[in-house]
Parts: sequence; C-alpha cells; structure tokens
Amino acid sequence: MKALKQFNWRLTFILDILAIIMLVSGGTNLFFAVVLTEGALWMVRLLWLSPAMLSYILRRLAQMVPIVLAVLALGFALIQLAPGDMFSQMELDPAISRDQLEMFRRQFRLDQPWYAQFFQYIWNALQGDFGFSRTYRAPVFAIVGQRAWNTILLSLTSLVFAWVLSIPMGVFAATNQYNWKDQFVSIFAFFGLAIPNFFLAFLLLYLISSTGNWLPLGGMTSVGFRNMTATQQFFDVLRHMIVPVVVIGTSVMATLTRVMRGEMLKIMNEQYVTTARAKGQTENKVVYMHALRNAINPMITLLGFQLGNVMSGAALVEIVVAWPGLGSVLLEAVLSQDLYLVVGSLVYGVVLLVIGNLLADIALALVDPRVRIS
Amino acid sequence: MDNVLEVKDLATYFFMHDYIIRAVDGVDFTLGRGETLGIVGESGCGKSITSMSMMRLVPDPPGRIISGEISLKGRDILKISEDEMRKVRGNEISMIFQEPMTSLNPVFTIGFQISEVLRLHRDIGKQDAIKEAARLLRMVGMSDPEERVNEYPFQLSGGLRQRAMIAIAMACEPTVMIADEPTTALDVTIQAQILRLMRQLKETKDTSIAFITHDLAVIASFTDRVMVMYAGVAVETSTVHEIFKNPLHPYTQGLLGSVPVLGDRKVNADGSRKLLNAIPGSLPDARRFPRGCRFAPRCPKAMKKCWEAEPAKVEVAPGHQVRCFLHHDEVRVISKRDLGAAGKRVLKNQQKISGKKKGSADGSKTDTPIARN
Repeated sequence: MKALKQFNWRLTFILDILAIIMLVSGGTNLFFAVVLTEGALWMVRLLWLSPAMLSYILRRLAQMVPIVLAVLALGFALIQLAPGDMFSQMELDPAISRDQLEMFRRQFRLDQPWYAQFFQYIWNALQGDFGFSRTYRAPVFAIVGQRAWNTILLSLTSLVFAWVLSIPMGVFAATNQYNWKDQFVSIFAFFGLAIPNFFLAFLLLYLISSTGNWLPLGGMTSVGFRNMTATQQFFDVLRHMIVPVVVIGTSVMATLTRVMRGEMLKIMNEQYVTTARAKGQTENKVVYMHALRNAINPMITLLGFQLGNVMSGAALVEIVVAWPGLGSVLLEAVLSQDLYLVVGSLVYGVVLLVIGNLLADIALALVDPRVRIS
Repeated sequence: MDNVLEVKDLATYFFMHDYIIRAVDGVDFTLGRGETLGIVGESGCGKSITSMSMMRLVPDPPGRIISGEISLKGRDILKISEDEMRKVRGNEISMIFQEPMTSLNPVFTIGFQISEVLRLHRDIGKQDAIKEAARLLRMVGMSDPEERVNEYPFQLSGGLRQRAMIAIAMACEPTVMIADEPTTALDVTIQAQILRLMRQLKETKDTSIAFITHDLAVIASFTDRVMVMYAGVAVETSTVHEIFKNPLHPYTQGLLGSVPVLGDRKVNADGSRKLLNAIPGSLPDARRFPRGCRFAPRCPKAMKKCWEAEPAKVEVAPGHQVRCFLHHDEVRVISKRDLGAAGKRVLKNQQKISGKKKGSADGSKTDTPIARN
C-alpha cells in the first residue's frame, strides 16, 4: 500500500511536468489525456486521504449542471433583450435580398421563440454541437476552445507569477512590521492595486517600444512560429507572455500580498509559534514552516475567486496587447450579436470558474487537516 | 541541593514609543536540582515575562532584557549567542504554556510536533523520532500512542493536548522545565491528573520546575519553595511551608487572606453581609511606579519611609527573603541599568511630547521612568 502511494505521488509529479510542457507548446489533444489521468489519480489519492472529501467533490461536480444551465439561460436572455439580431446589419446591404435574410434567420433558428432556441441549443450541446459563429464562420467550439486555451495559459501564468512573488513579499512585510521595508512593500502593493491594468499595459508597451523593442509588443507568437523547433516555440510564447503576465500579475499580487501580510501578522502572535521557538527551532523554520502553513489557508480560498477575476481582468489586457484570448472574441461576439459565440464563451468561463473553485477547495483540504478530517 | 539555575537581578523592560514598561525589574531566585519553585502573583505582575526572559523569547522590539544574569549550570545564558541559545531551548530548558488549545500547531500531527524537538536536539532519524514520540506519549499516559502520533491537535481533548505538550517539554529530558500556568485552562479533575503526571515525571527524571500560577491551592500541594511577585519585583521568597504559616510581606498576607474558606460564616456578628477579603486597589501603572515600595499605595501597614525608598531584599530567616521595611531597614540600591539606544529613543520622544505641551502644569513635574535611575 505504501509503495503504491509513493508510486501515485511520483506519477502525478511526472504528469504535472508533462502537462506544463504541453500547455506551453500547445499539444492540445494529448494534454487532455494527461489532465484526465491526473484527475483520476487525484481522486484515488483523495479516496484514501478523505472519503468524505471525495463525495463532497462529486456533489460539487453535480452542482455544476444547474449553474451552467442558468448561465446559458442568462446569456440567451441578454442577447434576446438587445434590439435586433446578428443579421440586422445586413438589412441595409442592397446586395442581400429579403428572402436570403429570411433563409439565414431560419438557418440559425432566429424565427423561432427564444425558449425553442434555448432548448434546441441545449439538446445540440449535449450532442457536442455548440452552434456556429456567423462572424468567424466556424463552429463555436473550435473558436472558443483555441481562444480559451490561450486565456487559461495567460491567467494561470499570471496567477503563478503573483503567488510566487506575493507569498515571500507578504511574509517579508509581516516580519518587518512597520519599518521602512514593510512600508516599501505596502506602497508597491497599493501601486499595483491603484493602477488600471490596461493603462499599465500601455505604459509598459510604451517603455519597451521607446527603449528599442527588446520584447514583442503584441500577439502570442512571432512570424515564422510554425518553422521553429519546440524549444524555440516555448521561448517565443514565453517572451510574448511577459508584458501581459506582469500587468495582470501585479494587480493580483497586490491583493495577495496584503492578505498574506495580515494573515502572517495574525499567525505570528499565535501561541504555537512561541511553542515552536521554545523548542529551539530556527527563526526561518518558525516563519516558513510553522506560521506559513497556517497563514496560507485564506490565500487558497481566495485562489478560487481569483481565477474568475483574473480571467475577466485578462480580457481588457488581452485586447491591449492583442493576445488571441477569449476577451477579444467575447467583445466582438457581443458587438455583432453573435448569439452562439456569446453563450459558448460564457459557458466556458463559468465551467472554468467552478472547476477553479473546486480545485481551491481540494487544495485547502490537502493543506489543512481540519478541513480534511471531519 | 546544588543549584542548576540562578537568576540574579533580572530586569526586562518594554520600550514603547514614549514610555518604558518595567515589566520585570529585579527578580532573583535559585532553582535546585529536582526542586519545584512556585512563582505567584496577580495577573500582570511579570510572572510570564520572567519565564519568557528565561527562554530569551521576549519579543524584541519592544521588549529587552536589560540587566541580570541567568546562569544555567554555571553558564550565563544571557551572554551566549542566539545559535547557542537555540540549543538550550527545548533541550535544557523547556516550557509548557497555559492554553493547550492554542499551543500546538493545528496543521501538524502530534507525532511530528514531538519528533520535531527530538530531531532538533538529538541525532535521530525521522522514523526513530516518531517511535520515540510514541514512547513519550505512553509515558505521559496516553492510550494507543502509536495511533495518536498520526492525529492532529484538534482531534484531542484539552487534557490530552496538555499531555502532548508535556511530552514535547520532556522529550529531551531538560534540566529545567518552566510551566506557565499549565493547569489554568483545564477543569479540576484534569488539573489533578496533569499535576500528578508532572510530579511523577519530576521525580523520575529529576527535573527542576519553575511553576507559574496564581492558584494558591496548586502552590500548596505541588511546590517546594515559593516566590511571590508584585509589580515586577520578587517581594518574598521562602519554602512553601513558611509562606503559608508565616507570611512576612503584607502583600503575601493579603494574597493568602483573600482565599475564601469553605464553611466560613457569610454574615458578620452584627448581621451585615461579610465581604470577601481582597487587597484594595490594583497593580500600579508599570509606566510610572511609585517612588518607594511598589506596594505602598495598597499596603495597610505603609509607613512614611515606604513612600520614600524601596526596601532591599533581605534574608530575615534561613531561606526566607523578604523585601519590606517592617522586617529590616535596608534600602535597595538599584544597579546602574544601561537602557541603550532604545532608551535614548524613548527619552527623545518623551521630550518631544512634553515640549509640545509646554506651559501645562504637570509638564516638568512628571516623574519620568528613566529619570529614576
């Protein structure tokens, strides 16, 4: 049993690395297989860690169904409430006859009442057909899939960036409470909170372009991306990510640093921190093991919310730096009333958000035994 | 009885923005091998700061041990480096705290928290440390110790947690164990169990215990000698028998007198309701202690002299020291205390503030804490 557990840990670790490599190099088909296997391995692990947790997760997954349905209905209703439809613009075009317009509308079932459209859409979606986008002239699933991919890549990298920096910064500020180091970190954090993301993006782009274009100014890939080797592709995407990641990351980091600082200050006054010191533990271990393990819990709870925040926050930045993500698609879809594209992007966002929250809950259970056992 | 711990003229001050809190200001005591010393006094009299000073765990800033000597088996632990001090903590001096609910880290297993101290001070592997932890848990009377090592603090009751704390404190068989009100948060039956356990361990391992409490019943049953503290100073030290039979300091007398006695008449002879005996008033402000004896404002026997000078601690009978002019005439001479940079900073802030208030009547008359020394 013990060997099996160890094997499971190692396997997931290897899969984690595989998944990251694939995420960046864009090998989409295999990535899903890797993620699904990993998910299964985590479920098995949860089964021996905490059966109660597993049933909780399954319940949460089941709860996703009504949430997704509600979002679908809301998306439909919003588009229906707006005057006109996706073909209204064509009515002014003398080259398109009335009959043709009628035909288009019939094709997209716009002649039927909204509830008929709604149920037809759900029926089709269950069979894997998420509709057709008129503006992009491609199936919604294909467009949203690729775009959402890029958004997830950007959001996750920004989150990792923010976490990796905010934890040590928060701890640093807390352990130097009220002296100039703490003030410096706080000023930095408030700066990140106060400055609008799109403005910071413009500012960075301006700085880069005026100092000799040492970073790409927009997009996700360079010209000739297809002809590069895998490593070259990896670094090319990485270089394109720097500006948006820094922009989105700083705003997230600002919040996280403040939360981390406050939590650390609270925990450092706890009796068990004194106990750890009284054992003769080094100050580093007292802070980074005994205190941090307790201070991290609210950060993880925040993570679930933050995933949604980051993704919607990314939309604006994506437009500024021309990142081919969901943000620009959603904007375009809403402007041209591209019904199925709007609904498709919304559903994608919601599913990711719910899964993000779920992952945060699981992470919390792994970190905190009080959540896991009870 | 040879002394394993000697504390001389210990003073721990807290340097706040514009005032100094003299939390501990002249405490001396000795602790013999296998001896139990009770430290009593009301809340805020400096008992806990004394114990934290012995561990050198007073938060700095604002606190600082500014004078004194704590020699553990002949070595002054106030002079050794922080690295060396870490080898003393948990190993030669260990500590048990008041709140078993909060003194264990909630996210680590009991076994891990016990083995942590073993691995810090002993050359022992991870697996062996866990086995040793289970043995220690058996020693403190926990059933199924092999199971318990994998449990988390929130799965244990208060009494069991305190036993786990004792296991941590006893893990390296320390010379001195400081128990800071270890039974205050427990109910009476558990309290008796924990005390019995501590006495057992003390006798088998020959550990010296500094037992801090304000519970006089615990003092009477558990300790060999008692030190009574008031406002940061030790006012009376003697054997437990002497303290209860022949208390000399008016504060000790008041403390003992304030214990309600079962079966005592609740009404006076004239029919009026009898009040509990209490010492009138409360602890003086630690920022501005009275000039003379610190107990003088509350003392029923205060003389003119008591307001003018502070009495020294004098041995009036073998093993019985008291700091009171009723029993001797010696005046305390306080050793010169170097307040250092922090003291200068406080003085500067004080001047800044009193400068602002120029013209107000009390500006010049205020007895600043620093001016005293």
